Amino acid sequence: MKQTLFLLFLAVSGLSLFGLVMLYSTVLTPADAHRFHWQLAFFGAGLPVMGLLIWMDYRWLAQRPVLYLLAGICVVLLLAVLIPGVGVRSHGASRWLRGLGQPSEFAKPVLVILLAARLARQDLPLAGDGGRAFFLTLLLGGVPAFLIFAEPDWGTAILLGMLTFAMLLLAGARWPHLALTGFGLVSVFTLLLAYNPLRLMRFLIFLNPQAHEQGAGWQIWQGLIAIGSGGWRGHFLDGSIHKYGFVPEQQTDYIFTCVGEETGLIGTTLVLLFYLGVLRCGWHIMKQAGDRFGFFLAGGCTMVILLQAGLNIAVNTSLIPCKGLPLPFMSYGGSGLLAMFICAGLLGSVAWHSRPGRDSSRPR
Amino acid sequence: MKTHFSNRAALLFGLLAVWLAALEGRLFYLQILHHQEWQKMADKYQLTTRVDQSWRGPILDRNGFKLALTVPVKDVYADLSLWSNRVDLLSGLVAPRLRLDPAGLARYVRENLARRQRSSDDQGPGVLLLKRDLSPLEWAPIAEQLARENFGLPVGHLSTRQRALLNDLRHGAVLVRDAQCRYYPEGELLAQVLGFVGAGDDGHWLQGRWGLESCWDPWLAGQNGICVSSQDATGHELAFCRVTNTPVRDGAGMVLTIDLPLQKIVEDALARAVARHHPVSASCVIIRPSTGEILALGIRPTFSPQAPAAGPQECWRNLVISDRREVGSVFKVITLAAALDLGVVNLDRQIFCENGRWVYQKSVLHDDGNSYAWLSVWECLARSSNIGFAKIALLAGPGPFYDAITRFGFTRPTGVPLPYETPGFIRSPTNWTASSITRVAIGQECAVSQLQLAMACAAIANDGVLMHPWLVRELVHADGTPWVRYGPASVGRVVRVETARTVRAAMEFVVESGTGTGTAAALPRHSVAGKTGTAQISDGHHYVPGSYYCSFIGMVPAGKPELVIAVAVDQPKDSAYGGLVAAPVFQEIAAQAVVRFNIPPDKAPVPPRPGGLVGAPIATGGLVAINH
Amino acid sequence: MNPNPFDSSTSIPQAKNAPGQFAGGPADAGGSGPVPAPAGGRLAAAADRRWIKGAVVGTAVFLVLLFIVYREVYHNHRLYEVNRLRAAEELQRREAQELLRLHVAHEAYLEAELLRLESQSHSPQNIQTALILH
Repeated sequence: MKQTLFLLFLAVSGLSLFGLVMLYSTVLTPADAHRFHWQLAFFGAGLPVMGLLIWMDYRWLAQRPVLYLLAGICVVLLLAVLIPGVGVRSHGASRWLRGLGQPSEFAKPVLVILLAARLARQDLPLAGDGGRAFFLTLLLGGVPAFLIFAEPDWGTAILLGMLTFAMLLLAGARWPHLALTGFGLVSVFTLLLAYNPLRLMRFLIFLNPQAHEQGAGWQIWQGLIAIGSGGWRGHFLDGSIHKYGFVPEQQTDYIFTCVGEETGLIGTTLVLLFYLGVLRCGWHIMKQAGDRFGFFLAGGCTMVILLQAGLNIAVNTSLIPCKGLPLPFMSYGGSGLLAMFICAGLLGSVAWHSRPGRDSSRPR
Repeated sequence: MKTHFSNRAALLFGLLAVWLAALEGRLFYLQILHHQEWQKMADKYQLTTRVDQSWRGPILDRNGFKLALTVPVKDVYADLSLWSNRVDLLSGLVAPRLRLDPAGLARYVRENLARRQRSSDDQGPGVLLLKRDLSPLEWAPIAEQLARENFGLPVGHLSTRQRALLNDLRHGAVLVRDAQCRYYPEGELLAQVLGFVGAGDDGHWLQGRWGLESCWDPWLAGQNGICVSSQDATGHELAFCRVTNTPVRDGAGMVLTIDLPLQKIVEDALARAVARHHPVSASCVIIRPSTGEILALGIRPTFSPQAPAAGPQECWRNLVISDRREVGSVFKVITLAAALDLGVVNLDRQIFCENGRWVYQKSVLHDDGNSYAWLSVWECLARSSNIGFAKIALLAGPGPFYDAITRFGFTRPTGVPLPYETPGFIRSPTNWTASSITRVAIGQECAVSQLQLAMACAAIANDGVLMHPWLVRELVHADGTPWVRYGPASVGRVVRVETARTVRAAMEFVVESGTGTGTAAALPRHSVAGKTGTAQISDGHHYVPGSYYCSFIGMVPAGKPELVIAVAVDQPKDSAYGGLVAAPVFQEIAAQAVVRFNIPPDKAPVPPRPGGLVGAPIATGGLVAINH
Repeated sequence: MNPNPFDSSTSIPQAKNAPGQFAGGPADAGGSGPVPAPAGGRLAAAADRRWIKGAVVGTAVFLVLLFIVYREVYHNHRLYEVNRLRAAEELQRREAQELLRLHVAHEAYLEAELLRLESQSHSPQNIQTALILH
């Protein structure tokens, strides 16, 4: 288990450091330098936070008062962001709270904890009754997702939806329930798209970004060029040029394109390997988990990290439409980085407190 | 024992792993399989080729006065993608500042927008030229004003996108491009020699189309610089990622041998002559015989190189070098020189001039209505007897005579560095008829250019050495360092020194004797040697009565000439004689030229007559000669 | 309903427990070693120490690489900055050159005017006047 924990540390630090290097590379003017410093600071803060969570016994989180507190804070913050004066509007969405970061990022680990706690209850008749338990769990996931959807931040909302779905699947929900809900959600989504042709067109840009390069497709088109022009070893040594402003917002959602250009296939594969490492650690920790709560907590945390990474990289390579999700550990964004460290910390906590011979207070 | 939890977990995590593998595959597809295409696409955005326009060099006269100059100007364009919804608004704002009509501008922009949209180019409507050659000093305040305009947007409450739009409108609605414009400060002076420029089609902004501008274009235009480099997203060059860089080489400046004040004197005199006689054309060229320098070259009618298309194209023609004429009696100087050099005559020899009518080899020769009996050669030249010179030429013989003509350079172009020089036309003696020699002796049956004639006379002035005409003194690099210095170049000796001196003495007799045809050219304090010419003009079949080509070639001072001035007036409406039309023009010009060049007088001053007017008596038709 | 894998009270007896319920086979590498053999424990401790040494060396190498990379990127940023300065300077130089050329053209214009006035004074009327006055 210690090796798994070390591998987790390695993967997480590797990703963060790689992200820092890439961020530093894209910070071109002294005006932007504060971004790098902030990210460095958050990295410096994130590791102790992760350590702290590992030392803390995760089972403490399963207690009701804690759960209610977390849920309450989460909802309050998400609502606060929607209030015009309190939430900071930028690029047509209000996601920020001044000084507190993005609540939607913190909602991710909080939702994992809540869902894990609920699904860990042994008396949950998921496979049983007419789906009431299923539906209620869905609602549990749906509320923050909906609030985030209203920001509007479709990407995170969809991520949380997928997370809820996956955890329900993991917990043993019946296939018909899952299929029906899935179908229902997809239909609603499609209707929302079709109702607004402009949005539909933007949705479909990912299929042919070059045709839209003058307009909304510019970002993804330049991102593809950056990745593709990287080759197998990237342009780091001979001077990458596409990072000089061609991909807007390259430091946040499109940091992967910077990886692609600067380090080529070697770098991008390394990033994928790091995430694979996280996956492997998560798998191991899930198998070795000491109790149901730990099991679902580990699974949920792993899936949050991996789903987000998978979606972000798929967007960067134009396999799915633009989502607006940052790359875990690598994108610039203090709240995002902290949230991911919290998830990794929870994962580590499950690992540490489930290692054989550690805790004799609970029967094994 | 596997439970279905483990199955489900395995399913989920398996899916995630497969997803990662799929992403890896996609990356492999992008970065390895299609790398070349993506790299090319990246180059399309990153690589930029910039052409640095070379600056066209100036043309100066020998004193440094600027004859042709390049001025920086701006060409104003409209970015049609920003105009497309706001044609009237923008026309109203932009047109008055550019001194255009707003309604007309709006219509023009709309037409072009419609045309470009019809051609359905996915690059967007592009830019449209609004105005050319705007001075940068005029543009600067216009740019400032446009940068403060609001373009009808409410400045207080603007969304991000509207703010970006306002910024675009302020700085991008009207664009300028640096351009060059050729300025000729002296207006119509020296127009045919300088030529003019037009829009370049070889990558340069300006390209010479006529005259010196055209013929010396490669030196004047310089070489554009090409820089292939990378740029960032805003279009700024990344100089540390340059691929290739050829630095720009600005055009060289050209210094001519022309003397601008003298040129003004010439042009003014020609203008007055044109006003008096209303000829088809008038021209004059001044040569310094010792070096062959062309000090002035004036032609009327003229044009303005600033706007060459404003008048008829015939004015562009450099008559001095491109037109070949039968020059008539002026050619007798050459005949005399040839005969003297061969030793078949001397100046005192008496020639019988057949009393004004001579039939030789079935062709009739007249002496212009005069009937002379016996004339010395001095007198033949002074009175311009055709019969006399026909006989002199016969003494020389066709072969030697033609050789002398060739040595004087009449069968080939002089090599002046200007375009469209004519080589003249004289048939070789094998094609001469029996009487051709008598015609060639008096300047008929041969067509030469005024410059060839002037250079030939300059050879006589130069003690028998023919020089190449020298027009360009030197080329100077753009930074002022000298590049090429040209010098006088001699073609060779055409006659002996004594011959030249003798001919000059005879020519001086023409002007100074009082009985010669050239008395109107005499100056009060300087001795002048010269020859008049009055040539009939043929229309291809026979000579047209009443139209004459009047000319005079003179050198001053006669002993050791420092200037050779050739004047020609083509078909004056009133008088018909070179002595009456062209010689006074020579006198005007020469009188001011000797002052300009401080040529010391070599004639004793005539004591002043009571009555106050100073100056020697002059023939009719001339002006008062100055005597400072 | 399947037995809850996590509730050990309902699960199969202790002796058959592998560290996790999902393995169903011998212990996987996640564990710190099977139950018996304190000798194996010592071996494991030695393996641990080697492993930690390797990890430390690896991390050190990684940090050195990171430093090198940081220097490269910093150098690149400096180039970019200098480039910006150079471009601004170049723009200034061009503007100054344009002004100078305009000035030269204006000078030529004035010069031509002067010459024109000078030569006007040499017109015949003026000359005649000078003569008479003289």
